[in-house]
Amino acid sequence: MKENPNRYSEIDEVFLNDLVRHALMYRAATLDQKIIDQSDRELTASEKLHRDQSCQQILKRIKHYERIEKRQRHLRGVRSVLPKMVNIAAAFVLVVGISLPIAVATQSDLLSRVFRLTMHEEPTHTVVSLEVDESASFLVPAGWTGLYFPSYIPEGYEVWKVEELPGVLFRNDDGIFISFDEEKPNASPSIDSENMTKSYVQVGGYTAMILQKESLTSITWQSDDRLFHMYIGSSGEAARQILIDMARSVRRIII
Amino acid sequence: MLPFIFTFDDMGNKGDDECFVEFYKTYYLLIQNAANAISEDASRNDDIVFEACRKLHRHANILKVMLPPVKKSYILKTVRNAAFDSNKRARLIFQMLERLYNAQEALQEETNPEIIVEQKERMEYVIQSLKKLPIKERDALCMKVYYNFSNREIAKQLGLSENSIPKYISRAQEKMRAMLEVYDSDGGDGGR
Repeated sequence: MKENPNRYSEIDEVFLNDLVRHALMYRAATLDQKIIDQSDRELTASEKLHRDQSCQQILKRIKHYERIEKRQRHLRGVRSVLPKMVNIAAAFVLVVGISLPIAVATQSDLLSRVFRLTMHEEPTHTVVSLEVDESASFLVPAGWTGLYFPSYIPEGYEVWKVEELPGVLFRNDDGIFISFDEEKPNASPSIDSENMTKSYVQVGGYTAMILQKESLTSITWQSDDRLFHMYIGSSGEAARQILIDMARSVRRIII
Repeated sequence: MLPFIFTFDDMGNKGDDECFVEFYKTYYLLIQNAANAISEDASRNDDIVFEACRKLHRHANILKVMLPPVKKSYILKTVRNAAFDSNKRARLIFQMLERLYNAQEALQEETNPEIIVEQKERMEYVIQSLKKLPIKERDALCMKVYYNFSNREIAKQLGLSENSIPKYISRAQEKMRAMLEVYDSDGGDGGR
C-alpha cells in the first residue's frame, strides 16, 4: 500500500482537535453539573423574597422591551415599505405621464373650441368680447397635425384616414371620398385642371378656385399663410355646394 | 399523539407570562448561580439574568414540555449566551477558558458513571497539556476547536495579526501531539 503522509497528517490534526474539543466539552459539562447540583436545594426565606420581587421586575422589563421592539419593528416595516411605495407611485406617475398624452393623441379626437363675438350695449358704450361657443365646437381627428380643420362634415361622411401631409380623407357609405389638404406657404402643389370647368367663390375673405369635371370637383383657397385644397369624388351642383360649405367651415384649431 | 404537537398548538403569547413565572420560580437558583459562575463582575449579573430571562420568556411554552435535565442544560446555555451577547464578550471568553483549564477540583469530584475512568484520565491529561502551552498558542487552539472562531476573530480577540494565527495553532498542535505521544508511550500515565 502506498503511503500518503499528507492525508495521515490531516486525519491526525482532526483527531487532535477533536480530542481537545472533547476535553474542553467534558470539563464544561462537569462545571455545568456542579452549578446544577449547587442549585438543587430549598430556597431560604430571603431568597424566596428576592425571587418573587425579581420575577415581577423582570416581567415588567420584558414587557417594556417588547413594546420598544414592537415599535421598532413597525418603524422598520414602514421604512422598508415606504421607498417601495414611493417607487411604485413614481413609476405610476411616470407611466400615466407618458401614456396619457399618447393615449389622448392616438386614441381620442380633440375638441376644438370656437369663439363667438358677443356685444353688450350699454347706454354710453358697447362691451364686446369673445366667448366660447360650445355648440360650434368641433372634433379634430387624432393624429391631425395641421392648424386648421373643417368644422362642418357633410352628413354620412366619416374620417377614413388621416395623413401626415397633413391631409384627411372622409368617406361615405357609397364609397365617395372627400379629401382635405393643408399646405404650408412654401408648398407648390400641382392641381389637375385639364378639361375642367373653372369658377370662383369667396371663402373667408379670400377668392377660392373651383374646378369641375366628370366625377371630380375640387376647391383651392387660402387663409393667411396656409393653402387649402379639397376635392370630392363626384360632380354636379350638390358636390360643388358640399365643398363650398366645408371650405367656409374651416377654422383654426383652438384647444 | 406526540406531546410536542400540543406544544406548537399552544405557542401563542397568551400563556407565556404564566409559564415564565412558574418556570422562573422553579429554576430561580439555577439561573442566579449560572450567572454568578459565568460573570465575575457581580454588578453585571442582573443584566445577564435579565437577558437570559427575555430569551427564556420567548420560549416559555417550549420549555414547558422539556424534560428537567434538558431544561437545566438549556438554562445554562441560555445564561452563557446572554453573557456572551453582552459587550464584555472578549473578556468572558478568556474567563470561560480559564475556568475550564483550572477546574481540576470539579473534575475530581465527578462521579458520572457514564464516563469511564480511562477516558476521564485522558481528558484530564489533555487539559493539563493545554495548560503547559504558551497562553496565546493555547487560546488560539481552543478558540478554533471549541468556539469554532475564524482566524480573523481569533486575531481580534488575541490582538494578533490574522496571518499569524495558523502558525500559533500549528505550534500548539505540534506541542500537544508530542505531549500525547508521551502519554500513550507511558501507557496512559503521561509521565506523571
